[in-house]
Amino acid sequence: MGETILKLENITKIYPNGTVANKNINIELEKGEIHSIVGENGAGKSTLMKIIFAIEQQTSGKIYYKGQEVHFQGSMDAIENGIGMVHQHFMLIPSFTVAQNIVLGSEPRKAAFIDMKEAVRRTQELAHKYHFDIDVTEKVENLTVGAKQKVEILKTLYRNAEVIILDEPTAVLTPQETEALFAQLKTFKEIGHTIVFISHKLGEVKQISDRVTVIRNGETKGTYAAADVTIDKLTELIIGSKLESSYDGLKKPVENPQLILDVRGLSYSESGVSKVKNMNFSIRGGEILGIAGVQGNGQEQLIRAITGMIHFQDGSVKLAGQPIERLNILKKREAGMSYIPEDRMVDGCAAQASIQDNLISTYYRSRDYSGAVFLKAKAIQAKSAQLVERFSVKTRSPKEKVSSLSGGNIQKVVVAREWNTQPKLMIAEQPTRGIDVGSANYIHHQLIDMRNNGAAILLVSADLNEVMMLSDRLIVMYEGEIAAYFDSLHGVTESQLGLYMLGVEHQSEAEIKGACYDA
Amino acid sequence: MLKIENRKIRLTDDGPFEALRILASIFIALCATFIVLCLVSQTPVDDFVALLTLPLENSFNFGYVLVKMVPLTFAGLATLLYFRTGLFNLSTEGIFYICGVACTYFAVSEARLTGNGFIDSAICIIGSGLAGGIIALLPGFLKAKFQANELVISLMLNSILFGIGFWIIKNFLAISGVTGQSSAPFVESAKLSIIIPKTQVHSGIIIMLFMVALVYILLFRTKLGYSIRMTGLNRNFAKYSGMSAFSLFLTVHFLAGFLGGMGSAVELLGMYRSFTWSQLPGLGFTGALMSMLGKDHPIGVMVGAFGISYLRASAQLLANSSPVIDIKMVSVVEVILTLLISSQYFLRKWREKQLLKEEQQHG
Repeated sequence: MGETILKLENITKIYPNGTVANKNINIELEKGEIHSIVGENGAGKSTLMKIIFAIEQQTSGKIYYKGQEVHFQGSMDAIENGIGMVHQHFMLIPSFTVAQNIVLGSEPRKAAFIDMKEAVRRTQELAHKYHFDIDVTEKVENLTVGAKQKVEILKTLYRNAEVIILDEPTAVLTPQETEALFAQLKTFKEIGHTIVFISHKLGEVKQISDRVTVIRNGETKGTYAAADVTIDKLTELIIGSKLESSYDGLKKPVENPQLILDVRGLSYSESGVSKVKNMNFSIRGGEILGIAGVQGNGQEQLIRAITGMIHFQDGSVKLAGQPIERLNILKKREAGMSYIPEDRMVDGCAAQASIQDNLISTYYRSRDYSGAVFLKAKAIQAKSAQLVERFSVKTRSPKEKVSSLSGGNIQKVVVAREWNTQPKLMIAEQPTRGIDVGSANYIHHQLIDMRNNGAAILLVSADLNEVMMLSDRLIVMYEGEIAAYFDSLHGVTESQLGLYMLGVEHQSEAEIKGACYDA
Repeated sequence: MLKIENRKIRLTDDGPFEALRILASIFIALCATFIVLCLVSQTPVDDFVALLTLPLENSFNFGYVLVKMVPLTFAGLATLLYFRTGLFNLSTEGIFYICGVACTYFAVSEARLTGNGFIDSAICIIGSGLAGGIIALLPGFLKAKFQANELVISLMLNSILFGIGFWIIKNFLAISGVTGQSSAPFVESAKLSIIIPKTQVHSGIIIMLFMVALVYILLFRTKLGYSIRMTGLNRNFAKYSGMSAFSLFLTVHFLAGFLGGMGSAVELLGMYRSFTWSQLPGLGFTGALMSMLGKDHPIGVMVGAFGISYLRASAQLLANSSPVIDIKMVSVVEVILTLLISSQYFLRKWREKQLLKEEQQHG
């Protein structure tokens, strides 16, 4: 085995609110290995990475780097010592070129000025050395998601990173881009870099890594050679129980389905740029319509237009026959719409309010929970206790703040609230993004359950696996349009979808027309 | 399964920890006071003891603390409503002034009153409150409709309201033969009566207690209060949930203006014989201080107002007896207190260490 480059010894982290995020974590990273760290959300992975990167300080425990105990003073110090991190959300300046982004903060200088020529030369050399096919003079805003990620990785290499931490790097990539990334990571490994790969996708973890460390409830549950451990075994270690791999058996046909959502000619443009172009589709009760696509192809705007978060310019939206495009959000909800928003922290919850307060925000006006003026405290308490229990939200009490929960549990609170109104239409936008396998599985079950009870579900997800597993019918969006429509997922492969997602292929008008039911 | 553990209350829990922080802040502020006293006074120890105990010496002194806290609490409650909605609006300052004028309009004329003490006070206080509520709708509308920055608007509005108020007093309500600007004396039946003999404590303190309870109930027990809190914590979330920011902003502005107007009337009718403010009274800005000290909680605001009144009253009493002490000195203490209490990180390291210890003990 190789030499140890980074060693974490008995790392414990306790947050001021008493949450124990890490408990006696022990991990050894070897030089030139790809080491995956897997675990549920809230298991303590992110906290651990923040500690390595000195964004957070451990409460106790030691970190050894190249055999020496280290106390990094902030992330700059960690970077200077050769630790690089690629965050899930890119930290790039869109209007700068690739080269400018890469050298940002440690630019080559000529007297008092930045030597841009030298910067371009150096970054080109770097890209060449690591076989990155990228034009360093291109502006970052013109790049694809995959290319932006390459820029992030080059940024760490430019700063001579020996250990590179990748946080959910494949979450935003198409299958083709993922393959390319993996080839790249293998080259790094051969050169002697150490890669820390954090992911929820266990298939990828097994494919790419040399060793895997499992974290559960803030504790290490062992490090395994990736070749020797099966995905089932990993899943079991992560959540402590087994999961099914297909939902087909759970889906039940719904009798006499009604047309629930009917979208016709929906168009939306933002400061003159057309984001959604003439979208037509419909969903019946007891059906999950999936929307796949690389992020930024209009899915977000489409959902915000339907839910009333933005005003769209053209088209009509009917909910169970009733036109709803002119209604405000409250009226839309009263008409039977529910919405799990893409970003739970921005729209989906008030983090500093209690779980209970968060569980009632969309229906506290109803007779059951309030009178003309006052809230009915007892009814609200009973309801929130019931929801917390039914959705297994891990908390001491519904009176705790939402900010004390892990990502997966916050998402459960959002889903519980949206589920509770028994909507006709459930719009689920990235319902399991960045949350653990156990919570994700639970949420999937709830969506299928709602579908079986006759709700129409519009599912948007960047996770192809999720869309393919849940959807009855599927739309692929590319540049604000429907690029492909499938009325059944049988026999459809990921790479086939990938071609539509990247705009390489486009279905004919007649094929796409199937997305609409005739009224 | 839902597990609600029955555990002992520990110092590191949110509530007790907050209390500990406040006590520690007060302790540090007192130390700072002592240092300042050492610099300015020949007898710092005596003065320090006097500063702490003067208000407790007799009932008049203590009553002085109580009446001083009334307008502070009203201003604090008004500002608290803004802060809870996520609006940094400081217009309570100008509202206090203009509503004082409105109150004077009613209070100086027997023709507008009935002669019954209770009803007359109510006419003045509610009239003043309505004036405040309606005037506050202006910045509220600008905020709700045009997304105008409420801080800038409220500061501008303060100057405007002062100018208008002063003009009204000077041209319509002032009487001649008095130094400075003064209105005619208030009608006796409009004034609030003294409820504790040999002190200045007037019935306004009862109104204050009532309003504290009312704001508490409003915030935590009503639908309106719920939408105020959710909007303040995350405006996107409130919109997403179907709450309308437009009507909420207007309602909150009206209520805050009403509270400010009431506070102004209560202060005037309880403590003054006629309207003599020739500049902004400074009570509105102190409202922001109260809201911060009280952690945006109505009871916290009242406790904070008591603390600040205690300090100000004893400084005033001390200044009366000892010429070297400047009453402005207490502002040093106020600032230190506010700084420490409102800073999130104060004592955080200590709490983390305690939590680690507990964790190690319990495994």
